Amino acid sequence: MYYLLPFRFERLDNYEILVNEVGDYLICPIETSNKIVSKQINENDEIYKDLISNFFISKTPIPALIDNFATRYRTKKSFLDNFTSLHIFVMTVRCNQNCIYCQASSKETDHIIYDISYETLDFSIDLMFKSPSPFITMEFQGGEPTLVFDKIKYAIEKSEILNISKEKKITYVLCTNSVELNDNILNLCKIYNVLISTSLDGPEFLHNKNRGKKNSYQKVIEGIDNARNFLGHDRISALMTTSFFSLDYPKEIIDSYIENGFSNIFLRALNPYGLVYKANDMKNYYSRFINFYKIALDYIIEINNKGFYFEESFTSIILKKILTPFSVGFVDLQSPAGIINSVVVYNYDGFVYASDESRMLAEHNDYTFRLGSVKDEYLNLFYGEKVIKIAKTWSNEALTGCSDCAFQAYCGADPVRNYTTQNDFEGFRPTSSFCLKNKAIIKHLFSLIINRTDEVMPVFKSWLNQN
Amino acid sequence: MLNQKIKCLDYNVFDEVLIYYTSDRILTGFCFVDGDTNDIKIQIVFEVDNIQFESKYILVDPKDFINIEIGDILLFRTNGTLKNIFRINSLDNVLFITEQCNNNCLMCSQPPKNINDLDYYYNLNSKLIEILPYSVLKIGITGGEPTILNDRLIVLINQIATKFPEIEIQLLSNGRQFSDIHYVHKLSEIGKKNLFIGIPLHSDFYVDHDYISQSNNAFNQTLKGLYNLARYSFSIELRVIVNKINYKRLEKISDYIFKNLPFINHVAFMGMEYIGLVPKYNKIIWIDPIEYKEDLKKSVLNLSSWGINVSVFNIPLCLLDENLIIYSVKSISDWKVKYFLQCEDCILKVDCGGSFGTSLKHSPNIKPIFN
Repeated sequence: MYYLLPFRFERLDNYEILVNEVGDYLICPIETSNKIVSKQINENDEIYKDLISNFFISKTPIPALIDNFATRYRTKKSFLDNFTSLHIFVMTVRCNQNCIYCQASSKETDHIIYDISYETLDFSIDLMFKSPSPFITMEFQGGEPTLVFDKIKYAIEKSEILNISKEKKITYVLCTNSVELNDNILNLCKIYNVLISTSLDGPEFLHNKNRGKKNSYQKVIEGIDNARNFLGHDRISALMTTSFFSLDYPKEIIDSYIENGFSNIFLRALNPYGLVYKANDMKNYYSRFINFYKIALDYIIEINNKGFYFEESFTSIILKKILTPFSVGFVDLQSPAGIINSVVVYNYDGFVYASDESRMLAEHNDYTFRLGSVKDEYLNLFYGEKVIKIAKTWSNEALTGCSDCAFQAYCGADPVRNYTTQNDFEGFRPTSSFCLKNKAIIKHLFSLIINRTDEVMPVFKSWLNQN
Repeated sequence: MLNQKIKCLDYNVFDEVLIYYTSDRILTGFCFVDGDTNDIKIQIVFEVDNIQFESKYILVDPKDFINIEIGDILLFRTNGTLKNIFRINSLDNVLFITEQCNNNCLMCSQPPKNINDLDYYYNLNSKLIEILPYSVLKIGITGGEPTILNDRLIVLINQIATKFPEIEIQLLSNGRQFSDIHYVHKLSEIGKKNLFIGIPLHSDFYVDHDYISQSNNAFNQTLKGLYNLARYSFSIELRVIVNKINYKRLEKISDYIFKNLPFINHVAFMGMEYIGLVPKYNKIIWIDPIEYKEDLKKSVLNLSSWGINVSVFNIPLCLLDENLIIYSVKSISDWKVKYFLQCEDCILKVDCGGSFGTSLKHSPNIKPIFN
């Protein structure tokens, strides 16, 4: 006789994937779950040993090693330990590009009402330092933040002074399109070790088309080269967004990243924010994106197996959750959700938002995820009524359609996205594009792990050991 | 053989005494071979405070007297034997704590004895630590199960760590006692920096582990112990002694280690020595390493691919998969190691850790490698 511990399962190909509470999985024959639940597993079966040792079943109602298991659970959830660490400052929503998929509702204007004020900066920086986290990432976003260089400089210098007494480890990140990276900016980056995060969508024709400009690619590449020469090769990372147009060019995009000296890519799908696209188009988009991702990943695996190290970072994040006992701090895919727990946004408008996506909603006059003014008290913002309401739906352990999903431990909750695409915080999994995409990718990775083990595992492990 | 210089540290000849082999004081010694038994016997004459003492004839275990060197420490026992218990130029010196053990592993090379020897060894070790030269870099603590000495083990470790702040102490334990967090806490307050704890894991499945160690609840206690040690950031070496009961789950054990024990500093997969209890339980426990070649390869490479330090101990290279050669460590002590006649032709002999000379049986598959 034995007792059941919490686990979930899913059929894939000719197997059943069983996943326990900390994300450890077993690949089993079809019908295994049924046998386990109906107590048909015999103590002499090899699988009985697997199930016991991996915490799927227990000889006693409470397993003897429950404390060890609890430690493992805490380890998996340790991204929660320090509370908010990523502090995003939206310096302006003005921009010098005109991207077709812009999620940030940027404005091509000189109007300074779209810039953050010094007063807002002061209050926001004070709030940032109230975070209990000893590690702080201060990220400057836009629009194009380099358009308000003086304010970035002011914010960094002010933080440095305040940090003399606060003694936090601060990492600065500047999200820029790299079009106007002049010496002033690079000097500042050099002095304060600012990481540059830029956008590169792929080869020239594609990048320029996505940007709605003729010479954007050339300027970005010049900017990247310039920044690398000035700051060091590894101080600049690039992020791509997969537009509708990009979907047809997976290999070309990867080739362009390799040509431009990057050793990783993050295959990022469009977010359904900014309300640029119609719901039907988006549904079609995600099925196409999944196909795009599979082709791209195959191509990347092939490149790695030829001896060239190149990582797909979204895959690494999921794999780390599936294959290792460690915690993954990725704000878009965690439970409890990244919003507030890990990230918060100080917007140019003088208000604090739960996430980057939340402030984009505000551009369309929807203030659902506005936590309050930067002038409010820290506790009222971070532990206020709004947060309490959001907290009810920010754990996938407690969401219908997630609570019994085999891949719960690898996925996350996103009330903001649920609200944007499905009109409530809870969301509805059968028609959720977030669920569609993540589930398909996780299943695809399992399928690779099972069916192409020897080909993919060394590559996957090389990515995970790098991080 | 012994006609040299011995310093005696305790002049009561009726007690067992530690003799510090030194060049300070000139004493005489006689050595002869007993014609009837071929035993080597010696008599030593030593001088303390101008009084000369003559020992009884002492039976000598020849293995203790190979390459005796100045600085070695000898134990002169009341039963008339002399044992080299500390070798100045060796990194394999140990403090032996007790013959008792709370496990009774089927492949134990030194089967435990249920005798009350705790006080005897405690006093001996305490005295030994006092006279150990400051040049000592590394010392092992072994048994039996050393933690049976309980708090006095911590006192001994403290004594070592205080006298030798930079020494490396390797404690071999089954880890069960560490399931008591208070004990781990006490231990952490002294020699954490110096201590490296080696703990065997026989399986990822508690029934198999408990069966191999012939003790109920051994697995659970050891696993709790490992977590407690990790909580206090101790350095841990996990030892998997491969045998007939656990070899089929070796790869699963390696998965279990990475998932549940990623904090350990080193994993050693070890071949068995055909001695102690192994001949007795031969049929249940003994296996030729060649039979688990594939399983061992998968588990070593699995752990290594996750960035975990992993080694193979006590298995000759000709019984290993070629991919594991780089993980093999020359782990058998000099005086114990054996190479066979056929090994002379092997091109890997210099890199090979050889076999246990003390083993009563060897794999019939030991053969030279030519390319």
